[in-house]
Amino acid sequence: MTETMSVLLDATLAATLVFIAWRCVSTRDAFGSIALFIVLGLVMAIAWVRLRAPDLALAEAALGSAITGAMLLAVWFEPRRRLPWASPSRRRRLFALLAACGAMGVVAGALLPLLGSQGGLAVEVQAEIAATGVTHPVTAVLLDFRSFDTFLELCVLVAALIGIWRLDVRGSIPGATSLDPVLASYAKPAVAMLIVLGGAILWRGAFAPGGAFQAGATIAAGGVLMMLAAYPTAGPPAAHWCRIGTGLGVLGLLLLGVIALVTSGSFLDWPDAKAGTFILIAEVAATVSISLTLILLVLAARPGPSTGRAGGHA
Amino acid sequence: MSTVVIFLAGGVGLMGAGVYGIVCAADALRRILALNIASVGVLTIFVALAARNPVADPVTHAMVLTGLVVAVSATGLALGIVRRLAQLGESEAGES
Repeated sequence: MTETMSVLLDATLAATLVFIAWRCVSTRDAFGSIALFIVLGLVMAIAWVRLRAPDLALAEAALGSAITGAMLLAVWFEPRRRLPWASPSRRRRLFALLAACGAMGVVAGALLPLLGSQGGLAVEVQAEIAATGVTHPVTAVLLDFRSFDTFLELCVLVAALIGIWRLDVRGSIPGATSLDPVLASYAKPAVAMLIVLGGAILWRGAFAPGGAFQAGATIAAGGVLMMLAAYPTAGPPAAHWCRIGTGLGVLGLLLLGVIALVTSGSFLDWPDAKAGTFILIAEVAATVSISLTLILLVLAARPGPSTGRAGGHA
Repeated sequence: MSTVVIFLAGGVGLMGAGVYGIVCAADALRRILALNIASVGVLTIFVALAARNPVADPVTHAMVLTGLVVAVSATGLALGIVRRLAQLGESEAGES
């Protein structure tokens, strides 16, 4: 691709993104706004591929666009949410415009001195990657060099879910009242393919773009699709299985971390010879709990019998 | 290099649109949506900064991935609160 063509492509992509974002915040039609947000995520994925971040493009398409979009739509389908949004007053719009310009000015001012320079730790990561047992740098960073971050990230996911369960929301997947034959016949092979795809993305994470978060989001999309098609058997498993499944990632990493603490002397610091195995176990456990947690976040309601607070989980 | 500059500008523009939406929104759902647009703009800035180097910086990529997951978790919780508030409003309206 020639230089001019790539500039043209990038400029078109960036302009499209900003235009979609602008329409998304300025339209009064709630459904249109959510639909534009999903489109924004997909175009964003292309932009991030242009920025040589295929891992993030996968995650943005699956998490930022699909899962967040499903969550927003589920709320939109609630009664009395479908009215068009009130138009903000002129004063408020002016104030918002000033706030936006101020924020953009501050961030642009902070970015300008960074333009000519380079920075980052790509060289350092490449130098140490042999000790991790994986060859894909982002996976190495996520599950070896910065595994404590990933551990806390899984805790955040579980904490959000516990928060939602505590709210006692009567959540439901919209439209899941009767079996839709067209959607159901599409969902069956699609879900099977999504699960296989999720497994492939997880496995590829060791040496190519992919990994637990992308795989978890892909499988979660399959779960949401099953519930949308209103399969009688679709839906979250019994409450205790939900608790075990969502906690598996955190507990698995905790257990591996303690094993590492005993054998190599520091928490979550895998012993070099076995690092690849540790990472694989951690990723599989994380994928199971990420996919289940995301499905339950979209569903929002507490699974199982909602009456009675037996079980004593916090 | 031009790719980086173009998408840095795009990221700043997205963030601006998000901030505009956050301030303008009267509806909670709309505000959460705008917040997500602003966050995706900030993440784009990070991804563009990571691409300045000959080899894209994997540590920044890992941070952005963490940011994405935390944003989804926070959005889920915020939407749960929105639903709960709506349901409280319904039951109050039913009682009166």
